[in-house]
Amino acid sequence: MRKFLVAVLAAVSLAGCTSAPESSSGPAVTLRVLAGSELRDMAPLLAEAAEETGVTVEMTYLGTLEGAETVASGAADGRYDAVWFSSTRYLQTIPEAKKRLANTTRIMGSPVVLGVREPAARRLGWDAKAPTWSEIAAAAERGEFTYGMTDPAASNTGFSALVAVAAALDGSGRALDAAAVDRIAPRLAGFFSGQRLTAGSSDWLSGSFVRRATGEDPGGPLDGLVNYESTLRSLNRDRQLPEPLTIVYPADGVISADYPFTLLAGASDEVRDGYGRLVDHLRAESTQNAIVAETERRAVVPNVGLPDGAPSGLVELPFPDTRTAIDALLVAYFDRLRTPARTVYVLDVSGSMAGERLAALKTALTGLTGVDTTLSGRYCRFRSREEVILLPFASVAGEPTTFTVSAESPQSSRDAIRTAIDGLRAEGETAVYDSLVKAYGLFADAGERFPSIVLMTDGESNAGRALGDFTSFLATAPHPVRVFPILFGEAAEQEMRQVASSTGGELWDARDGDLGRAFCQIRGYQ
Amino acid sequence: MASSRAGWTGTRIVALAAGVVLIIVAAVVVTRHGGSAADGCVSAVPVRGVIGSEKEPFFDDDRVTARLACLGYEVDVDSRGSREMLDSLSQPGNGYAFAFPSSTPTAQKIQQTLEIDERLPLFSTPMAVATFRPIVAVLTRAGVIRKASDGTDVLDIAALLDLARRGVTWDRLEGNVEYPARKTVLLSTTDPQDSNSAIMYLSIASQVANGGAIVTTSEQARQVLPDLCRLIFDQGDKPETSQVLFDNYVVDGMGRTPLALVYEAQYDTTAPPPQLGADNVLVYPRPTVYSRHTLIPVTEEGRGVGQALRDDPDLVRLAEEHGFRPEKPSGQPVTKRPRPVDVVESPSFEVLETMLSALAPTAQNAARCAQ
Repeated sequence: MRKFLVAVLAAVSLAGCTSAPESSSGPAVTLRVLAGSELRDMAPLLAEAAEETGVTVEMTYLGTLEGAETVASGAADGRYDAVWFSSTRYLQTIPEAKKRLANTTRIMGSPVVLGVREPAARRLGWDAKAPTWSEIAAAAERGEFTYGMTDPAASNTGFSALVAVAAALDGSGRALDAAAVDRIAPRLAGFFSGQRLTAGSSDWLSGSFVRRATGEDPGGPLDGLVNYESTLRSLNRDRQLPEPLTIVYPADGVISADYPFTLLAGASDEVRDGYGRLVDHLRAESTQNAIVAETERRAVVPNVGLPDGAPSGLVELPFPDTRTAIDALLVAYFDRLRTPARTVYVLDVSGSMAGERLAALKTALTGLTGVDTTLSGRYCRFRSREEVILLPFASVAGEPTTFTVSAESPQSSRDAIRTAIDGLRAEGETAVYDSLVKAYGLFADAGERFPSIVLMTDGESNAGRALGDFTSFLATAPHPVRVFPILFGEAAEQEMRQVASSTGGELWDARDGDLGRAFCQIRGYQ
Repeated sequence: MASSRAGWTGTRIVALAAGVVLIIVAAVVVTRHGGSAADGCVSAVPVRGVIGSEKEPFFDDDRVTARLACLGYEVDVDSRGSREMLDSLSQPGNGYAFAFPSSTPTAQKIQQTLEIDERLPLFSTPMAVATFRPIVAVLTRAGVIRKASDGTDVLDIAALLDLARRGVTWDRLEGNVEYPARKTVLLSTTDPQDSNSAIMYLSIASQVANGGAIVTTSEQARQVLPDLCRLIFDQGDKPETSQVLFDNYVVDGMGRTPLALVYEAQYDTTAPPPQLGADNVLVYPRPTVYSRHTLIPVTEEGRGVGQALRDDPDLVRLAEEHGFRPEKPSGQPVTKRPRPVDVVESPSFEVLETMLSALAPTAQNAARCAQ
């Protein structure tokens, strides 16, 4: 064996001293990448990269937390080669996920900041002098500043803002620990009293903000929104708003996304090689210039300018790297700090739901009652102070049952909701719009609570009002409420899409069977 | 030969056989392209090594690979953090001919694990602090940066530790108009869980916290832990590698990283030089420690690579261009800096492991480190 080897080696050794000029091209390879949805805007640059390097990227988009869960649970093993999210900080705190990560390369950056409508910025004096997070929190508490921010468990911008405002209000200058979270909770509550809009994704949030600013969605304009500098700059560049946003960089610091492109452990040599070529290409000066120009994000290599007029020298706040601190912050946000939600679940229990479908609905809803212990399941559960109203319907709208999740013993409240879910029976016709109108009547005393309706139906409305009657009703509805329809069975897709768009909500498709995932994802919008 | 390595032989033959297939393919490709050996070069064999990430630019340098190839070694490297490196080397059939870690403790641990007696210290680089002139001004007023006996600025780790113990933030330093940030005055490091440069910081900081004596017992390690919590844990999230830390320093500037513990070589490399501005400046910590890049040969070819890196004048010269201080320097070193005066040695790998485990970001450690 040895001798044979030596012979072969000698025969091929003429390759030894030729050194080919370095080139980023190489054998064609495809990287299967689990990615954050905000990276969709990289598609043109990735297409160019594929031509240059032979490395094709196949992106599958998931939310931050869902992505983390996919990696941590091992579901990504063998199915994906890499992950690419705006941040892997959360992922790094989960040991089962961390051990599955290999090489990581930062591709670009963008701080999470505030976009404030010009009149509001002038009124608050923030156009002239950048406020601190404390000043922003004080304005929100006084009712002088309203804003939208994503769900911090579902999206990185909300998560980053939560960490930034907490770190700034803490003021110790150290990375937060769990005890600090308790200390600053009262002042954080002031900041979150100004939040009027939440969403499960940053893109959806800015879309909703724009539609409210232009009057397309009900509810009136908000003063500002929390998002990436790049997203806010793009909104201004594309003139999507009646007046441009003033981009406010809190004076005491920001948290930035750094988009680490991270290889998963166990990648083949071929994939590793492709990964190396791709990230080299993405970090090349010319690509970095294109990233800045096209996506308004910041470069991560020297010699590439900032996006036009963007400030340099931003103070980066310390980010906690322990699970305990991060969990304490998220739990405080959901259970104590945020404005609680009132959600009406309008549930189709017509005859067609009988059997498997009803069972699937029960399982899916039960997942929100604290029995799902997966990562995303833990954050989907009904939270302290939240109001959950079950409104089953068939030939007519049924009687609503209201549950307020107790702050002292939330699980017993969740157990009560589960019992009610378990008691649902299927029989009769499908009065979708009568039931929606009835649901709208359940928000009169909702106060500041975040109102929303989740509509789950498996067929066409065949009793009572029609879609036209409902849209006419909307014009006179006393409170704007977003409706999130979930398609199931033979649901009427076109009609449901119209219900979502006319109320500023969003359509979810669970016809592939994953009803639980739909209910869980909609939690980010409640 | 040690028993732990005997078990590898079988798997290695398989790995080699797989390699032969690749080589045959490569040979076909090369022949088609009509490649031929350059003058004075010997035929090259493929050699795989595992290295610390800070040496990646060196091994990526075409001149380095070409020279090594000419000397008979077609070198391919994987870069790994120090703990990861041990894991990779323990995998059966890993095919590594050498390991090239960045510190003596890691080198010793690898030797011990693989039962290899030999090690080749090749080059070293002192740990240094990359910072900015306004920061030097602020810290000089605060008595944290002082003049060493040779007139150079040094960052006094004992004074820094004192600020960290009291949780002093930049904006509370007297007369600080240059950098009034509400962040604790800390030296930014990589994550010590998997990066050598932060382990070097533990070496420095533990010694200062231990009253200037090297930490040798677990009892001493326990006693210095509260101080290490302040210096390491309070930073929160840290970059994974020294290259990321240095990039953050260069690209994002002092808002993000006012003080970064880096390898002198990263700052002084001329291949290519980092894009530094007029405000960038390098000072040594006092005390500092040398990161000693030490090659552990696993196979005969691996030893050959080590000897080439040590003895070949061209490769020594290239290492100097990359900012390293070779054990056998050429006549004209690239680094013109005088050697730092106050230098300490690292604790043993076992002592460092104790500290590392106590600083991992777990709930238990977080509770212990909480102030």
